[in-house]
Amino acid sequence: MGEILLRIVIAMVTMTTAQTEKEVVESFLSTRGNDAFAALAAILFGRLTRYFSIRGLDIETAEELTQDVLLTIYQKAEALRSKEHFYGWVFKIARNQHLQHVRRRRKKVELVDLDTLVHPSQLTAAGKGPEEAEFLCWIAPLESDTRQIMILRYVEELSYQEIATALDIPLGTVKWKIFDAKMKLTDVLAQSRGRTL
Amino acid sequence: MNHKYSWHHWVDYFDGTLPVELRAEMEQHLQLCSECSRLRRSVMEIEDRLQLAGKRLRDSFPTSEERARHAVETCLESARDSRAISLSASVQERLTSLQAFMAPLCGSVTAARAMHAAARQTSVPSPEGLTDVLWPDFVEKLSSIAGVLCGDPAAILVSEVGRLAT
Repeated sequence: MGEILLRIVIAMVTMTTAQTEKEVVESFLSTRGNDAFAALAAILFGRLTRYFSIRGLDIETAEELTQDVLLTIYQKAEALRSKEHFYGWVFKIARNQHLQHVRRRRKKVELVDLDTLVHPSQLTAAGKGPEEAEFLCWIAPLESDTRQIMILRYVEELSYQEIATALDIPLGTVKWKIFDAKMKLTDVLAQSRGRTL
Repeated sequence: MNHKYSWHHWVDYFDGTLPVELRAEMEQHLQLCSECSRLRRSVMEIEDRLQLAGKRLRDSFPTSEERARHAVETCLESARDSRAISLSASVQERLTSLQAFMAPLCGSVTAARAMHAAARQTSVPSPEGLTDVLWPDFVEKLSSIAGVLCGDPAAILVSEVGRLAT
């Protein structure tokens, strides 16, 4: 236990002082060693818990699912063919973990909705200000599948290709959905300005 | 999309991936066409707002270093356990290989008994209890038994097969 803790602390310090995120990912994928994994997990932990929290899960569940995702990454990294697809692959695992979690909770329901997001008012209730909930308000008028794409693009900062990998949809669909969403939001913005004039 | 530019063109334009000539041509059109120019302005404004709002949401979930450390610790422990399980499976595979090698030399029942005897001499009740650490000692004991049963060449071969199986 002490050795592991020391390894994690060293990995965290090393990561923050010397290695960029890209280098940490490359180091893990090339060595798949415990030190490299500890550094990678330190980076991914926050991103993954946020992924699950935005989808309305409480912090304990979000952290539990994050641990499951991290363990899957550790065990299955060998299967990843291209490191360019790393984040797409990570969020695909996260989506699958979320799906399994929802299925476990609703055993009798075959079809589950993975696209439910935390309501902006829940964020406010959780002590976050309106500015922090603004993104969810922005994407609220969009279709649920488009909202997922927009979160991966603007909150998780994934590339088009990574989003396509994460959601298992064609690259062209990702590009179109994001462009179409922005077009719709320009209308929303114009209308809101019209109302305030 | 109106005019001669498709949404593909617009996506590449905003991403900065449009070929240089086409981009220059599009810029020229945008200077003359107020409708397309307005569209560009609106989409760029939305892009800026989404990026800013996305960043605010991203930053509103700070990571607790202590919780992150605990999670990573748990993961590494689970990973180590799962690796131990896979090593056990690997020992089982080696046992199968050794038994398959010895069976034609001394018969499958004798081979199985020899492996049990070697395991007991290695301080485990049965071959299934062997670990990576105990493996070399087990192979040495099994080699000695094979020598008694089938002669020195068998002893050497068992020793080699056991070593190569790791």
